[in-house]
Amino acid sequence: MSEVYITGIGIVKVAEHWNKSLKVLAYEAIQNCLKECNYKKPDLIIVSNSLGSFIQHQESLSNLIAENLSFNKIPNLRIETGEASGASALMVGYMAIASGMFKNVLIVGVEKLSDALPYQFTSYASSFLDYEYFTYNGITPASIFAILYKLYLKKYNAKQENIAQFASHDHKMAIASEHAQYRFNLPVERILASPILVDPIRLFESYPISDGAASIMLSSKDQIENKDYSVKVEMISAVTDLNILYREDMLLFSSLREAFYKIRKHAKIELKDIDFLEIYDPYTIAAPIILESLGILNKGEGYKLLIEGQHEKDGELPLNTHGGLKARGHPLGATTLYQVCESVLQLRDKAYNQVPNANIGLVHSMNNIGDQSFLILLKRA
Amino acid sequence: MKPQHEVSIIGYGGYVPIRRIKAKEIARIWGKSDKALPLEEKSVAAYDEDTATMSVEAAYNALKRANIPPNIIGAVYVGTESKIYTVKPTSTVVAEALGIIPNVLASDYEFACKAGTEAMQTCIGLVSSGMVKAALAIGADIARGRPGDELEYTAGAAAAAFILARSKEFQDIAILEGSFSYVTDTPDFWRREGQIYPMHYYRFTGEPAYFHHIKEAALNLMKELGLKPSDFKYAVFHQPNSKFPQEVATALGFKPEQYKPGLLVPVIGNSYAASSMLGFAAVLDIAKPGDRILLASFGSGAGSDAFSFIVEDGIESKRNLAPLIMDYIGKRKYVDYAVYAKHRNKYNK
Amino acid sequence: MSAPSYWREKKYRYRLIAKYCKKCDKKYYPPRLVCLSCGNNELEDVELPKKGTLITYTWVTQPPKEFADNAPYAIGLIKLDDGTIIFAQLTDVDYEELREGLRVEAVFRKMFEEDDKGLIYYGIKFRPAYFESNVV
Repeated sequence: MSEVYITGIGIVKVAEHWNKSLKVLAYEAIQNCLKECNYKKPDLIIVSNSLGSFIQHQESLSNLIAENLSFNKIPNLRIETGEASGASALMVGYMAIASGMFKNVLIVGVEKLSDALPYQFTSYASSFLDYEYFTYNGITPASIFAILYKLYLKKYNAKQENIAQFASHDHKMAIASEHAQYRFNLPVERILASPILVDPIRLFESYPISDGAASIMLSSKDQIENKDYSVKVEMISAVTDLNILYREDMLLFSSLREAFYKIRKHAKIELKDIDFLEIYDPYTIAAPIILESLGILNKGEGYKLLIEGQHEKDGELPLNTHGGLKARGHPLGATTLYQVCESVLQLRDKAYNQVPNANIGLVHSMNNIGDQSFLILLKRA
Repeated sequence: MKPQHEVSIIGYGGYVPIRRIKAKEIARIWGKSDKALPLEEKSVAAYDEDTATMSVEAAYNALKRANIPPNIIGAVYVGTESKIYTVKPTSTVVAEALGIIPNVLASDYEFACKAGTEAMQTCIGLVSSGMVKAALAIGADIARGRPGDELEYTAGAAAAAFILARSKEFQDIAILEGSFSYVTDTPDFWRREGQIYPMHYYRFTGEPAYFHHIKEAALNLMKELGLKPSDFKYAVFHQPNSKFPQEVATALGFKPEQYKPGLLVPVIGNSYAASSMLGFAAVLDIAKPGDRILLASFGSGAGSDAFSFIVEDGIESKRNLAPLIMDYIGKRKYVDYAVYAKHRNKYNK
Repeated sequence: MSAPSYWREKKYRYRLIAKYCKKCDKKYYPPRLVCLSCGNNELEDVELPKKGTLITYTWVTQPPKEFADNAPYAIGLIKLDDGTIIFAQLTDVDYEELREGLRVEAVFRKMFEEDDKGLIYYGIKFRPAYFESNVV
């Protein structure tokens, strides 16, 4: 199997891009990426996008983007696995290179959520659940997270302010990050005073509505031109989980535990080897659950490192160093591509909140309530 | 009218929505005096309720009392003037929700407030003839009151369901002695297609409509069966407001202790097709074996169905298998006019 | 929602019918095609009990467009009397009345309408149990 490297990245600022379409955003991210890797010619283009079919009424998006950007001599794919589409796009790109079938794969994640009205967006976001039995009953992903939040607070006698602090942390990290959507301090008191979105989740504990695009060039080893710029994709693991109703412990994503076990076993690394972590927490309550599922902290103590200040850039386990989903933004299909690009910046020593001696980074992505968990292990080349 | 083979009620049930609005509150909005209001309060169906949902709950209670598997019911009729669709029967949804489909007759009946008792008459005929083993008759309505109109005080919501079968095949709750139906073309209250609210002719709905038809049906019934008012333990009439049923009862020779137990309108309003049937169910909740009960409905347009039932032993063991009507009435939550209007879609969105 | 897709699932939604694996004695609602424990793909229909206890709940103020007129409403995690755990919408209940351990019962209600020309969709919601003591 061929080794897989990231030889270029391109990011567009996360914002409400009223005057830029999906095509335009994708184009900008791709241009930034190609510039970095000396305009390498990809032999496959993969587009990651979750809700374009609903919001922009656009199916067959990868064809549209490929053709418009004059990538018309190569195959194009669109990968969708709900919110984790970016991770699966990366996984397919990885397989394309590792198999030896392709040498350079251009991946772009692009999403425009601001085109939808708020109540439409809630409907569309609910389409990630089983429409016929969840949306049909008015159950949204937010309401399920809210229920998990209540179960967590009760079971572990936890305080909401400790969980809300994850959002505060994300905002602090985003201040230095030029492409983040929100770059201001958000103290915990302000979060807890914000309107209730779905009891007990406060408005500022939830991800924002964002537009964005991020692009990555995956290449085989012999395609590397600038070694300082490239980062190795060591391994990607993905595990499908059960419907939340059938999990043994609703407050644990066993698929994530399994995915991390696979990574540790096959890549022969330990938790202590990981220099920084990007997690996929659309609501603050997801963060402690993710950290506990990874086995980093005990059940009920998911916020321990946070309140001890160990998630700072020079802490024990730097977390969401560019703002995470809450502050950098969460353009669904593009989000994981952002997470990976930011990790690449860290591994190139070019990050806004640079982690000292960053050698190995772990990116977590998931669909819905951990319905599928992805882990991407990245290493300095 | 007597069916060839004797017929009994083997199950009955009702449903009243939990929300109530006081007549005083409605008067307050329209600047009317709160003296001499037609009743105390009425029931308000919620936004997620309709004739089908109320019918399902009432029929579910009836099934519990009937103690039969749902699929032996061979006919389901919903009598209502608030069908869920103008075309597509409410009864098909009800039958499906109760597990009665597919070997069943089903249809919706319309005859204003006597649609439910019309359904009962049909069910009596079907079971007596042996065409079906058991039949379900439902009267249910979410009455529509035009904002500011007199009828807004009384337009309530409820459902009542009766399951009928040949006597002595199952445990009988009450056996039918006989019935009499009296119908004429009398335009006291009507609604044209496409209109949301009905039209009514105020005082014309009284003597020539309500009183005339009920009296004719009840008097003819008693004549046919050779009975007089004192032979009945209870008498239940259609209840458009508090005054009318008490007046007609007195005019026919009944006493307060006979008609008061079935008089529900002061606290739930006029539930149209459910009205008299629900009063009858409330009476069954307290009746003893051997009690004779008169039930006389009235439907605008106009007509009356009068029945005489005699309570059987089965009532004692079956009564408590489902909630009593008074249990539902006792569960109440008051809403103000704004919340009432929101639930009943009176805002033009 | 299209008429056929509504019609296909109605018995599960109207009567809270789950899929049951006889070999494992496990019930699945929403209905599954394959048993999680043993892989049995011949699951039977079974009607779930209509009463249960509220494990926890939340209050939705930003509904999907289907429920725009119905909001706000509560969503509950309910343990039915046979141990089956389900999510469901709650009705006829105010925010102040909600609490863990509340006894609840299933009721047949209108979920939403297509629009004023389309179909009416029905299903099961839960309300505080009538006539059962809800006093802690």
